[in-house]
Amino acid sequence: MIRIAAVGDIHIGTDSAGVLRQQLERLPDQADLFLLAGDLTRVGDPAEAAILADELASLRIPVVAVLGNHDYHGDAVAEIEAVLVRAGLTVLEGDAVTLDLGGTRVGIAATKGFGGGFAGATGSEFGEPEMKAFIRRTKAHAERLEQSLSGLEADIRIALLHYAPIRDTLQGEPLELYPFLGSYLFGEAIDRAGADLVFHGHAHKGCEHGVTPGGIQVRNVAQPVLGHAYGLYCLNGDSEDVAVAAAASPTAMPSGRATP
Amino acid sequence: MGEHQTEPTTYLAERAHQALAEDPRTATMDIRVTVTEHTVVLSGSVTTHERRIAAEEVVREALPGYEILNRMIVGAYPPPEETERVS
Repeated sequence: MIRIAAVGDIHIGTDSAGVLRQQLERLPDQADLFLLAGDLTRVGDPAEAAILADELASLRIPVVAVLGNHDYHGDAVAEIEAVLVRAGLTVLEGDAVTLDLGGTRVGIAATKGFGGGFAGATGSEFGEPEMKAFIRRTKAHAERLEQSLSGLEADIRIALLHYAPIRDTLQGEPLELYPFLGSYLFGEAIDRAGADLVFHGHAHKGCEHGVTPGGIQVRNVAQPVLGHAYGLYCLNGDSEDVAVAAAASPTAMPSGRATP
Repeated sequence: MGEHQTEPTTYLAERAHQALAEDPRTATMDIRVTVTEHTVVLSGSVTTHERRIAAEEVVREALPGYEILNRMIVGAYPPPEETERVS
């Protein structure tokens, strides 16, 4: 059994010191792995990432993160990633990691993702250069996700995104916003590659539960949706129950980094 | 009295929304804005007192002359009590 804690859209600011630390006090006793589904910062300032790093310093479980659109706002993605990696986090974008959690191999493939809309109401790579670039970017992210997810050799495979891969978990959001909240291309990529569970954030007014057209469970873990500091999910692996995750050993997959 | 009271309230509310989304002091789309003839009402929740005050400042700058009723609450999300068994 693997216990996963996940949350997105925590939007740490320079005013947030102490807030998250208090929320996470019980986390190491509740989960073997902590996933962060993007929008970790408020405006993409490395100083905000440093506060997040401090808040996570006392956690004794692996933390795997993908960045979100807010984390890109300050044009300082490399600096933010460096701050988080120095703090011991694994930050993924277009690549994957496999963790050995007490004998169960848990693979996580991640991408921030992007917008474009959902089946029946999608943007197309047609017309103005800006429109073509928008959809082209989404397709590139989806292709990288499919590749990294397909390449995972693990007992449990998880897809981690910021943008939504399905429309189910957007229920509650205005319909007009859907094209900016995600793309069906990510759901399609996940269904092709296969996964045990999918996490995303970004849709603050959406709902938690959804399923891809191929039948894979999806959870929107945006903090305002959860109404809690994080969500807790339990998955059965191929091995016996995992008692301690502190000795988890991350092994980076040899896949490259996609251009965000 | 608001300086822009002849403008449709839809535009005024959206101007405030955009300011809240784009200003680095707030950078959020989670705050509800309701504009009436003389008053702007802000509601929703934020995680720090600084964000509550910043939201009021940003909207005051976006819609000068309007009375601001700041009804936002400050609160942190509690840890979960339950675990969902997915499979």
